[in-house]
Amino acid sequence: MLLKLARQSLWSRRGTAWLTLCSLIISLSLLLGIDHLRLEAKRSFTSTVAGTDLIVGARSGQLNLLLYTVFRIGNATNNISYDHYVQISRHPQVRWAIPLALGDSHRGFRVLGTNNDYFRFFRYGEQQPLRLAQGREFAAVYETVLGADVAKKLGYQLGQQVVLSHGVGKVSFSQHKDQPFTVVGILAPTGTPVDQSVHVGLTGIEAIHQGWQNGAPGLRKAAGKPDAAALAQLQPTVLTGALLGLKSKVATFAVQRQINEFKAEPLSAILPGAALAELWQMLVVVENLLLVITALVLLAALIGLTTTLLAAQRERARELAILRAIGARPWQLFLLIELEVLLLTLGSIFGAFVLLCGSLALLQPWLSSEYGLVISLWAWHPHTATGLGIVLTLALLLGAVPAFQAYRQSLSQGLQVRL
Amino acid sequence: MAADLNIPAVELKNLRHQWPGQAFVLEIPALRLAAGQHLFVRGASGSGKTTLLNLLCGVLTLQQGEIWLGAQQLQPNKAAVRDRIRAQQIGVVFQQLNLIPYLSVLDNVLLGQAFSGKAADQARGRMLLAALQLPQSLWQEPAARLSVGQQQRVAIARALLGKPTLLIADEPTSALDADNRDAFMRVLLQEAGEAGSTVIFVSHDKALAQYFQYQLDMNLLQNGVTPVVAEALCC
Repeated sequence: MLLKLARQSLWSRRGTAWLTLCSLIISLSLLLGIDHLRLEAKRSFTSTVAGTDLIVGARSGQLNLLLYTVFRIGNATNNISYDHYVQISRHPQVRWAIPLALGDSHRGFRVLGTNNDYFRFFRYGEQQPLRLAQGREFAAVYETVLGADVAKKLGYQLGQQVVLSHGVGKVSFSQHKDQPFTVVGILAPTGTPVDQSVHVGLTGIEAIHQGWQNGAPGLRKAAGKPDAAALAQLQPTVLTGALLGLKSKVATFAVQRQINEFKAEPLSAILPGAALAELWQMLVVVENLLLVITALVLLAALIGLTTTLLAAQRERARELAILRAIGARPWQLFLLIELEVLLLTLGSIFGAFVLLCGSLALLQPWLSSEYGLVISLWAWHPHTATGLGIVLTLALLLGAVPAFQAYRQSLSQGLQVRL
Repeated sequence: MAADLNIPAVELKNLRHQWPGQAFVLEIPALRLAAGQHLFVRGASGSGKTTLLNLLCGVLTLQQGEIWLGAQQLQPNKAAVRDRIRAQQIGVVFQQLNLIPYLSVLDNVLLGQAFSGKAADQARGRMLLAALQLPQSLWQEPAARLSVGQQQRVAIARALLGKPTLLIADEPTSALDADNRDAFMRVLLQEAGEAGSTVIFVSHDKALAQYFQYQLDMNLLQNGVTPVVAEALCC
């Protein structure tokens, strides 16, 4: 009966109840959303590299190296020589090495020059290997394997010809038009930047830059495509970086030091875990700030709820006196107000989930194409229940203010209400 | 409620109540009403009518004296018991605005029993509404849609639903015009009679005294003149 009373009483004040509900829904979905995005982003980031022990590149900060080799964000400070890469990959402690050559793009998607070891050794998420959804790995110079998003977004099929552009902008003025690549494979989705990469062999990268000097077509422009004989002899000369897998984790620091002290060329070797942690350390401040702000917004909404109930208290004095007259106990009136708070809060939690999951479903394609973030639609984490429990408790505590007022009023006023 | 002739339905003994900081003292040495008797309590505002009603309902804690409802005493230190007695044995009709505006007419009538711990007696609720000549089309309407006269009749139905020992009416006719008032008085007393309830009816309107067998004049109490004893004489 009390529940029915609470429900009908809210319904009778549905104008203010709706507004209160809306402000609670908005602030709750902000809080849940930020928490969810934070965790999903973290998961998405950390699942990008798995099983890689060291990342090698030209000398630079570890964040920069991490960002351009793994996340395809930003640019390399310098190239490294292919010969030195070969030298490092033959180090007795190195189990496998994946060369990376970046710097070109195709319609906004980064091109990654590598070799077939990439398909063999690269791991993401829970140590999952890359899997081809269609076709095969590249074998010839002008063959390419597309990431899942690239193929989907641009609608590419196997056998189609694609032209690579120099540089990484969406619009490029220098295109490698004379040397198109054929799509021979499409990778299965991974939820990592791999989905947004166009993979070609190192010789392919070498071929399209034949005759170029200092990042621009040479003045003595090589006439068109190199002939078959020239292609067969093509050897990669420069790389942007490399991923290394070691035979023993214990050797990681030793190998890292040896690479950092490499005499022939200034190189940096970083531990992806440590670099990710540093990246996270930078973001954690922003993340915490956002959480604090949303928590305050939520608190404001809860205080708004209390205010609404307190304001209604005056006009409800009559109602409470009637309930008292027909035998309601003072604590039952307390309970009635708290039930209204409970209904509003539960309603807003439900609404917030609907809003959040709905907007995630709408935003997901955009987030994954723009930022490479694959966000799960189900915004529930183990600690969400605790968080919502705290919100509910807080709401009930704040709701106790008008509820206690109703209780006190019912004790002191008796049955008479001065109007 | 089976009326035991030896036990009065309502009995006040040596009642004395004083509000803190006020000179006025409400004193009723003795008041006895048998089951089914109707008492008219008359008095100007400030004569202690409201205090008396709050004491009778058990909302206000008694300072001195005793109040008995049948075999049960409204004890000062047992608020929970008093609340239960009120839910089960007392019906109240206010001056106006007796109903929860957002509940339907029928729900308002059945509301009282939600707090008395008994199952809602739908059939009796409908019977009372019909007896009080409220058209069935109104029963599911929110109470706020009804006219004042209709609302007061719904209030009677609610107060009498549980066949209370005591029906308390606090100036229930003050918002009604003359025609409505007479009709209201008739159905109130008739339905109370059928339910076997004792009625204590408070009003400043002397004209209403004609409907009652017994009278208590608060003004006389206040002036410290002869404490009036309304003693049941017959039945």
